[in-house]
Parts: sequence; C-alpha cells; structure tokens
Amino acid sequence: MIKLVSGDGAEFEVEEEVAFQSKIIKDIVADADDVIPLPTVSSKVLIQVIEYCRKHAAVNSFPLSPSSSAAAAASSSSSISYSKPVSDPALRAWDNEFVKLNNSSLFDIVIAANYLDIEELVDLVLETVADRIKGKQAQEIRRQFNIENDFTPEEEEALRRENSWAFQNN
Amino acid sequence: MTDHGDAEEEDNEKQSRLSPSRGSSSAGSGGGCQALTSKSGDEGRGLVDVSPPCSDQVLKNVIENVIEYVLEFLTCRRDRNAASMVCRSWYRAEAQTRREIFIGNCFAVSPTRAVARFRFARALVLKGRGEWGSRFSPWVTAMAAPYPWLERVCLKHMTVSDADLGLLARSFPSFGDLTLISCSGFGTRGLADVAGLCRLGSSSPILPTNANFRPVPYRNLRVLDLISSDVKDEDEQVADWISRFPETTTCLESLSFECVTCMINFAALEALVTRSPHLRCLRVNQHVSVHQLRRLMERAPPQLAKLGTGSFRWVPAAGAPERSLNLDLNDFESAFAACKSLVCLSGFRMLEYLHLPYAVCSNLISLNLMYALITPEQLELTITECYNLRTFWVLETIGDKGLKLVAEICKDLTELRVFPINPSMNYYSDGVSDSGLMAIAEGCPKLRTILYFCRGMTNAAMVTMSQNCPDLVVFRLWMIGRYRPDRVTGEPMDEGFGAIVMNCKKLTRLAISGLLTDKVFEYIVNRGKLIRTLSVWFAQNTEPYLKYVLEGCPNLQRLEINGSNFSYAELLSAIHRFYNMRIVWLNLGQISLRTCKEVARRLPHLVVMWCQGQDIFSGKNVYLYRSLDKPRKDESPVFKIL
Repeated sequence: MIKLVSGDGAEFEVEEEVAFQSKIIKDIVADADDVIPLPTVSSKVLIQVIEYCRKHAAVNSFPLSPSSSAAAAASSSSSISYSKPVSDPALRAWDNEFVKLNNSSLFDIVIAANYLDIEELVDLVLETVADRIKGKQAQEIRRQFNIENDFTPEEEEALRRENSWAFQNN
Repeated sequence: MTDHGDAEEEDNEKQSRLSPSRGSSSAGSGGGCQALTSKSGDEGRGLVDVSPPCSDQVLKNVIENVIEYVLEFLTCRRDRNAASMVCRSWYRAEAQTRREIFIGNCFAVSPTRAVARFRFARALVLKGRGEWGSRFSPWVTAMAAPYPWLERVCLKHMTVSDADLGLLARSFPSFGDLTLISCSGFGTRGLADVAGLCRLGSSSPILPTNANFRPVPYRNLRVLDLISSDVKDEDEQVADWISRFPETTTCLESLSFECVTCMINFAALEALVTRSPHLRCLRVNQHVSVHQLRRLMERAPPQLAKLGTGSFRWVPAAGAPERSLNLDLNDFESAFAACKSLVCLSGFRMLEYLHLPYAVCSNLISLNLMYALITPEQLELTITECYNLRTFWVLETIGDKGLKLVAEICKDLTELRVFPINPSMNYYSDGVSDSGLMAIAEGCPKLRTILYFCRGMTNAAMVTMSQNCPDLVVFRLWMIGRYRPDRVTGEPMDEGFGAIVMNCKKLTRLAISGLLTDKVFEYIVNRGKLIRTLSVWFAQNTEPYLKYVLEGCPNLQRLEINGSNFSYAELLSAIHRFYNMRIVWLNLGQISLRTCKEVARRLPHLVVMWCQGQDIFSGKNVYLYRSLDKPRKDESPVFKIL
C-alpha cells in the first residue's frame, strides 16, 4: 500500500497498481518511500483522481508506463500497448459519467492529473472541455467559462469579418 | 503566475505540459521525462491554488494555460473560428494550434495575412477560379520560409506553374501530399520535381525549433492526385516524371493521373508500383492499355482499394494470333479477382470486353464510367452484381433504360451523376429524361447527391424524388436546351423544384434550369433556408428576384446566375447583401459596365471582376467577391477589375 497526502493534510491509502496509474508516483516510489506528499493537490480533487485511477487500474491489468524503470522488464514484450479508454466501451461509458462535473472541477482535475502525469486522464478532461466548446458561438463560450471579452468592438468586428470572409468553409 | 508570465516562461510552460495530441501523433515516447522535469516548474510557479474551490482569477489562469491543449481536440473550422473570438488569449492559442488552413476563395485574403495568423499550419486547402487569375504562386512563395512543417496541399481551380511545383517540392521537407483538382498551368516537368525532390535522403533544411511543435520525420511523397486537371506539355518538353520517383521502396499511398494526357514511361510505372507496398489508390491515364493494366494489377499490393483503369482499350500484342483474346480475358479476370480490396473503379474509355468477376462487383462501392460511351446493354453486363454501389457516375448514353437497371440493383445508392456526352465525341444519344429520374426516385431512397443532365423532365418525376429521397443534400438538374417546360404538361418547372426545396429538408445545394417563373424563387426563398449554393440557368424573370433570394436565404454563400437579365436598379437593390456572399457570378445579357462600376464604388471591400465575351455563352460575366485585402492590381486580356 502507498500513502498519499493531500495539500490539506488528508491521507489516503491506495494499492500500488492504483497509485501507479500516475507515472510520477511510480517514479518516486521507485527511489524513495511509500508516503507521498502531494502539496498541490487538494483532498477533494485527490479523492476524484483516486476514484479514476482505481477504476482504470482494475481495467488496465498491467502497468501503465512501460518506459519507467521499475516494472518494465516484466512486460517488455508488450511495452507499447497499454489499453486506451476508447478501446473498452464500458470504461468509456464510465469515463463519460466521471467527467460530468462543472468546469472548475474539471480544471482542478486536469491540473492534478498533469502534475501526477496521468496521461489518459489529462486527455479525457481536455477532450471533455473541447466537447463543451463545440457548436457554440463565442459569446456562449465566454458565458460558460466565465471569460471576459477583452477585444475592442472594432477588433471583434474585424475578426468576425476575417473569419467569415476568409476562413469559413461555407 | 500573472506577475511574471513573460515570454520565456510561456515557452517553458509549453514544453512542460503533457502534450495530448502531439503525444499521439508524432512526439513519440520521449515526452515522459520532459513532463517530469517540468513538474517542479509548475509547482514553483503556483499554477494551482491549493485551497479549493478555485477562485475566478485562478480559474482564468488555468483556462489560459490549458486552452491550447483543449483546442488540439477541436477540428471543425466553425468551432475554431468561434474559439478564436472568445478573447485575446484564446485567439492566440487557436492561431497556434490550427493545423489546416481552409480558404474557400483565394482572393478573399492575402497569403501573407493568412500565414501571419496561423503559424503552425501543416495543411493548406485553397480554392480559386482558374481562368480569373487565381495563381498559386504568391501562396507558395509566402509559405516557403515560415511553413517548414507543411505536409499537405490541396488546390482546386488554381493556376499552378511548373516553377510553383518545384518550389513546393524544395521548400517543405515534410511535404508528402499533393492534390490538384481542376487546376491548370503546369506540365510534366513540375510533376517530375514533385516526384523527384520528395524523396527520402534529400537534404532537408534545418528546421526552426519551437517548443510547441515537433517536426514530423522527413518522409516520402505519399499522395500525388491529379484530378480533372489540365496537364499539358509541348511534345518536346514532356518529362519522364514517373522515373523520378525514388528508386527505393516508396511510401506512396495514392497516385492518380487520369487527366495527364501525355504518354508515360510504362516500365517505370510498373517498377514504381512494384516498390510501393502501401499503395491503396492507383489511377492511370488513357495511355495505359488493358494488357499493361493487368501487369500493374498483378504487381499492386493486396490492399489496393481504388483503381483507375486507363483506356481499357484492347490492343492485341504484336504478332499474337486473334484467338489469344479469350485467353487474355481469362488472365484479366483472374487479375481482377486477385485485387480483393478493390472498392472504387474508374477509367474505362472502352467497355466492350468488360465483364468483371462477381467477387469484384459485389465489393464495389464506387463506379465511375464517365468516359465510357456505354449502352444499356453493356451496362447490364457490368452492373448486375454491383448491388453495394454507393456512388455511380455515368454518361447519358446509359439512357432511361440503364437508369432503371441501376434503380433495380443499387438500392443503397447515395450519389448519382449523369453527364452529357461531349459533342466532340461524335456520338448520338437520346440521353436520359424524367422516366430515368422517376426510376431512381423509386428505387434509391438513400440518395443524397444527384447531378442530372437531361433532355426532358416532368414536374411529377421531381415531386416523386422529393417525396422518396428525403435525405437529398445536393440536387442539380440541368436541362439541355433553354427554357424547356414540363415534357408532358408543357408547364413551367417551378412545382418540381418547389417540391424539392420543400420536402428535402437537408438541401444545401440546388441548381435549377428549364422554363422557370418567379414562383420558383418564391419557393426557394420560403423553404430553402439551408441552401448555401444556388445556380440558376436561364430563368425568365419579371420580378426582382435577385434581391429576394439574397435576402430570403440566410445561409446562401454562392450564387451563380446564367442568362438572366437584371436591371441596374435590381443589382443595386441587392447590394447590401453582397458582403455576406462568398461568390456571386452573373452571366448576363444587358448589364452595363457602368452598373458594375457603381457597385464596386459603393462597396470598397467588394472586388468586381468584369469579363466580356469569354464565356461559352459569350455574354458578359461579372464575378463579385469580398476581400479583406486591397483590390488586386493584376489584369489580363480576359478580365478587368473594377
């Protein structure tokens, strides 16, 4: 078992294969001890990330990162093939449920996943955010992500014109 | 983070991020280490506030840092354009991550402006109007220095010179994919440059390094598709371009040159096919005989899916006895049978001996017979087993009888094109009419696209099609001859086209012809809200329908009107809509130069091209389009810019 300590001091004991979904934890464990402080990850976010890793560890039965030194030897023959979520419809469906979160939670998770180097989770969240942009006008996107429009009206008009005159397909 | 977000750190940030799509496409596995070393960087810079929940400011910072990676997942141009307008940081992120630049009218924007905005494009899709001075030259020149990563170019209706092709081949070390559709101006010497310089091992210039982009490994030409392009040389200038491909194993996946009219070096072609194990598409020109085709098929890899047959003309080998023909045919059928992956067939200048093995026919998804003067009887031999066809192109010599056969067999047909025979072919045909269209309407309910050149039509046939083929997206019906009424009732064709716009709710492209009155425009305006492209041939109008159509079809982007008379007042009454249109093309009888000058004067961003007597109908052509840049300076004997 490995003990993860969140930024706000909460401790979480998880199985190795769950924690090893994170490449960085795997590397740390390889040369240090089993208590890993994660000062930039809050407990709320860490709970969600562990939930994700637990699910994916169960499905990906072999180590995620073939390139790291620790367990590479065992599975060297299949070194490039770890299962992607897309290849398993049930896992994909689970992922889709998992990302039904508000934007700020999603961004918290992507930052943590990036920090922990969990590539599949990073991709999952980025794609989810992209899906939330699709089919929307700029104004709707701004509202959704609470973004301030810092163009001047003239700039915005010039850009609208450039996009529709030159770079639109219809 | 906001305090010291200078340029250097931005670069560092890019390097440190996990790279979602780059990781999967070209970066390889080295990213892991990089990501690790950078983690401390993120931490130190306090990218994440430890205490949840995120404050607005923190969230804003996070979005700014992540958006570039999010946008990698956004491929649709419309979405990308919307994202670019959200705010400044999104604009920058979008510009950095747009991989394909699509420009529907090459005059709408200058190459330098496009290149300055999208610095990391890998593909360019560019459309022009060849005969009106749309040259590729300024584009390739503008891209040569800033775009070392360019991999793919697709041009349509552009004028491309041999020198342009040479520059293309020399300037872009990663270049490997060229498609020229309906282009002209180049010959085999340009092709030789593309074939010869796009090869492994030729010296590649040093690529600028940028953290946001990893150059793809230098590679071979993968795609060279010349489609309906005008490739010509004087006899003494013909280059043996096929010999210029690399002598090693190639990466060639697609090679199409059906439109190249000059002779080719067959031995070189045969050798090229032999050392191209990835070939999936091969379309040869009319100089390749049936015998030679068989040899190519025997040498092509098993995954060959698309084949353009060349002439398909039977030239008995010199000295061979007449009776060897049957033996050859057997060989030929076995060659076809060996190509188990074949799904698309085209070429065929002659069809006398065509009898495709069942195994091939039942796999076929696309069959293009637009060069073959095929009779219904010949068609029967070919098509009986082609029950999986989705796309079928054919000449009108097929007749209504042939179309009935198609309707009976090809139940999954989604695209049908019936072309007129070229008068130079010196061949008489009754062509196709309403009864052929009726048969297709009844037999092919999945039809999405139809182009139909016919010699007679009824409203009833079109009404049936509108009811039975609700998925129609493209409906283009050209009646040969002017002002043709309903063949049976003698009435105008308004009701038939009206039914199409009413019942086919997905229609985006419509071409109308025959005897038409104002009514048809009323239908189009009231029902054709999705129409993007509208072509009108020889409408007799009394009301000012130009204004109606431009105002009533909110999605209209392209309008072509041939043979109608507009008044000065009418053209000016529609003027406020011209900026919303990508292209308006008018071939008109009465319009005056003065009127067009007035339009140009009133709309400074509108380019008005004027050309008299050059068209096939020798009317006055006016071509209007909007442009972000200053009006062009170039002129030619063919056109004048007002």
